[in-house]
This record gives sequence, structure tokens and C-alpha cells, in this order.
Amino acid sequence: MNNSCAIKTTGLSYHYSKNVQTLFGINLNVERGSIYGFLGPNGSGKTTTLSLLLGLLPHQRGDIEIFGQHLHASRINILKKIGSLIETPSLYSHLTAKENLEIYRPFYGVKRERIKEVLQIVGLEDTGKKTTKKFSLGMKQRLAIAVALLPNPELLILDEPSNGLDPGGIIELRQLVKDLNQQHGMTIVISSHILSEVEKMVSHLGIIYKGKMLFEGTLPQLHALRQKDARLLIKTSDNTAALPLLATYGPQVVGDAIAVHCSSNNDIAAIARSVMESNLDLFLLQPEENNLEQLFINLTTDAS
Amino acid sequence: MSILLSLRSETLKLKRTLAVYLCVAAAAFGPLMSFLEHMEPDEKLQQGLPWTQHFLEGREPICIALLPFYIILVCALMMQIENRDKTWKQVLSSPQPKINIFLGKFWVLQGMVLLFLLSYNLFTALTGGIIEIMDPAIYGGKLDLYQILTVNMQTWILSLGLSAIQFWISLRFRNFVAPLAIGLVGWFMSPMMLFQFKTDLVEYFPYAFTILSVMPDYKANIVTYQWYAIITAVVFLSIAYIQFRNRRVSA
Repeated sequence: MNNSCAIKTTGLSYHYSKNVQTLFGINLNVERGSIYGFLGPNGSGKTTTLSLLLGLLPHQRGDIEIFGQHLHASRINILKKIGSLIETPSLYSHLTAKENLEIYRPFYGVKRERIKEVLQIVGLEDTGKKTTKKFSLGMKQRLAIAVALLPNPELLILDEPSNGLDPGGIIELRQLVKDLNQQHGMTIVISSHILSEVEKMVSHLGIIYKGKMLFEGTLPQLHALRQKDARLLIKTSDNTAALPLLATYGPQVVGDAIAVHCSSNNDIAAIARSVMESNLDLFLLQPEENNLEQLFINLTTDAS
Repeated sequence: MSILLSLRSETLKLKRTLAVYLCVAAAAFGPLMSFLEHMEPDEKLQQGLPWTQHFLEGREPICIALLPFYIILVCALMMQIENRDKTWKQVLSSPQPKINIFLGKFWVLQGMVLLFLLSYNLFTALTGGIIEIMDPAIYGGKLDLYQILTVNMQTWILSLGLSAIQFWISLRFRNFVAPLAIGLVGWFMSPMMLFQFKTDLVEYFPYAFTILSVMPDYKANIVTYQWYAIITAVVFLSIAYIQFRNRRVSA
């Protein structure tokens, strides 16, 4: 295995029942020191994949290597280097924040001071004797992140960590992820179903859809892919008259606008010029929103 | 020792839970009944070893109902902590062998049973002491400490089969009610088998072993029942561990 890989899965498949296959030969390559966004709509297999990486589901088919070791041969050694948050916070509601951390602290061999440190990192150092059942969802999510950070992990796996966080909390989380990666060199895998939420912080991306990997690569590679399929929305004072002018760009009427294919800035300038030179008023000239759903559709179409 | 870390972690989880309060409250019941009964001079008591008698009489409600109920409830409560708060996924992704998690939980359960028996003994000593202070003529006799210890040990061993079955059921079912219901039905079947159906099968029924230990007709076979309890515990713990090791953890 390449030493630069933190996670490498080969042909990872899983089914919950005989007739329902959830994962189909997932090949995941997460480089050390990267922030890897694991994207996919709900039910696409993200949590199943991450659960398999943590050994929470019985191994069926395929291979999992983490830090060059096979998960099932060195489970304990590997888990000592991993911090995780899988979907909802896993906290004992009758215990305080410190007590929740104390439950796990001895397994990672870290000192008691580490509890104070991680509580400070997530801003929960002043919760005192308040039990976690009295915490807001955002506080619970932050404490769950503190549990994940407790071992000062080399690999941090966060499954939908922004669930329950308000916009301010999401921005803080984003900054925290960047800081942990840059200052502590942590490899971070963060899953989400919202592209815009993760693309501001990740260096690499994997996109999963209906249990199959559709894309894996760096953020610039994804941008290039999106650029290839990018379309421009145009509104003019007379769209019918504008259509023949845009014939070379494959125009399509979308509502009260025209969508055209556009692969460079030169194309944009040329389109604007031809509309203006025809004495049409230009009301709108903007890239069509290339959201995750559209991207899935494009990738699925490409794949087929 | 990593198993001790798991044990420590499992013990910490019981902090501020009903299991701890219940341990003290349920253990006090038997001695309290015995206390109320012995406040008046009792000729029968005076003829034997009054202190020992006080201990053994307090043990009857413990063996017949309180200890089985306590085990059924504590097993369900222990697992409910993980199920209610959806903490299994964090527990199982922490770096501890699954066998340690499993044994840690079972040992904590046994610790709670022993704590229950210890509380019962302390309450018995306390209520006996109060009686002694109130009227030294009632007791005054010596205490057969060896017999008390032996009987306590027997009670614990006899409860092992029931413990293991309820532990397995509580681990298997995610809801709180099913293990309680199955446990109570199991317990209720014991007096039914004894008094209603008068069947010898009761001697092989793990829920009945602690009850049989206070029934004069069955006392002679108490060592056999202890072996049955140990065998039952080994069998059901093995089944429970195999299922636990292969379980899926949902997010």
C-alpha cells in the first residue's frame, strides 16, 4: 500500500439483507494530511462505508487498510489513532461533559488534562455539573466532536458533523476542521450531502451515489469536471431573437431564461458581445447553479 | 490490564442511575421486614442463634423475589443506557477488544449483585444492632459468620444462571420492556412450577434456583443447583458473546 494513504479500501461491498446491496465495490483512497469530503445524498451509503471503516459492521467483501494495516488484523491499534463521530452524538445523557470524556479517556492512554483541552477546543469548558441531557443539540454535537478529538487522532472521521449546528456553528466547525488539519496534521474525512458545505474546506473529494463511487479526486479536478458541464443562464429583452445568436452554444430555454454551454471566460465575453451587438438588452448573465444533485446527474450520465 | 479499563468505564456509566439507588432500596426491604418481626420477643428465635436467624429470615424475600427482580431490572437498565443514548457505536469504535466490553458489562452486573448482597447484610446487621440496643435480651447470642458467608456465596452462585440469561436477553433486545417482560414471566413460572404444577422440572429452571434455596424440601440439593446455575451461565454467556461479536451497530 502507498505510504501516503491514510485509508485505502478495495472492492468494499456490503449488504444489509440478501436482496438489497448497499455498497458496490467501493475503492476509497484518502491521502495522509488531506481533508477528504465524502459526498452523497442521503441513503447513498456514506454512513455504511464509514461504519465499515470503524469496524462497526461485520466485514463482508473487499479490503480495508488504514495507515497501511489491515483493519481486521490490527483493529485495536488502528482505532487508537482514530477519532470518530458517526451521525448523531453518542453521549451518556445522565453524565456531565467531563464524565462522558472520562469514559473513553483511559482507552486512548491520554492524560486527564486532555479532557480540559478538548473541552476548550469545542468551547464547552464551562458546562460544570450540567448533565448532557440538558445540552442543546449544538452543544451535544460539539461534545461529540470533543470525544472524537480526545485521542488527538491521526485520522478524524466525521459523519455529517454539521447536523444540528446553527450557521455560526457550521462556520466554527469549518474553521476547526481546517485548524486541526493545518496545525495538527490530522487527516480528516468529513461526510455530507451538501457540496457547498464541504467544498470550502476539503482538499479531496469522493462522491458516492446509490452505493457506487462516482468520483474521487482533488477539488480542482472536481472544479474542472464541473466547468466541463457548466452552463450559463441568459435573460434578454427578447429571448426568441437571442436564440439564433447563441446557436453555437447549444441553447435551451429554461423557464424565462436561456441556458447555454460555456467552457471558458472567452465564451462568456463572446456571448455577451453578440447579444449587445444585436441591440438586445441583457438582463441576466450568470452561471447556472451546479449543485450536488445536478453534479450527480451529470456524473451518472457520464458513467452510463 | 485493558479489561480493568473496560470495567472502570462500565462502572462509571452507572453513576446517577436507578440501578445504584435500587440496589440499596431493594436490599433494605428484607432486613426491614425481619426487623419489624423481631421487635417483639420471639421464643422460637431465642432457642436458636437469634442473630443468624435474623440474617436467614431477611434472606427469604431476597431469594424469592427481590434478587431476581433486581437482576432482571439492572440488566435491562444497563443495556438501556447504551440503547437510549445510541452510544454503542462510540463504545464499539473505541480501542478495546469486544470481549472486554462484553465481560466488563457482565462483571459490573455481578458487582451490582454482590453490592446488593453486601447492602442486604449491612442492613441486616444494622437492624439487628438496633434491636440489640433496644433490648439486649432479644438477641445477645453469637453470630455464625461462616454460615452467613456461605449462604451469601450460595445465593450469588445460584443467581448466575438467571443473570446470564437476562444479560443475553437484554443485550439482544433494544427496547426496555421486552427483557423485563421475559424476566418477569420467567420468575413467575417458578412458583407456578413449584406450587401449581408441582413438577420436578423446576429443579432445572434457572429462574427458580434462588427460590429453591429457601424451600426446605429442596435445600438438600443446593450444591446441584449451584452447578446447574454455573453451567447455564457458561452456555448463555457463550451464546450472548457470539451474537455480540457479530452484531451490526446502526448509526
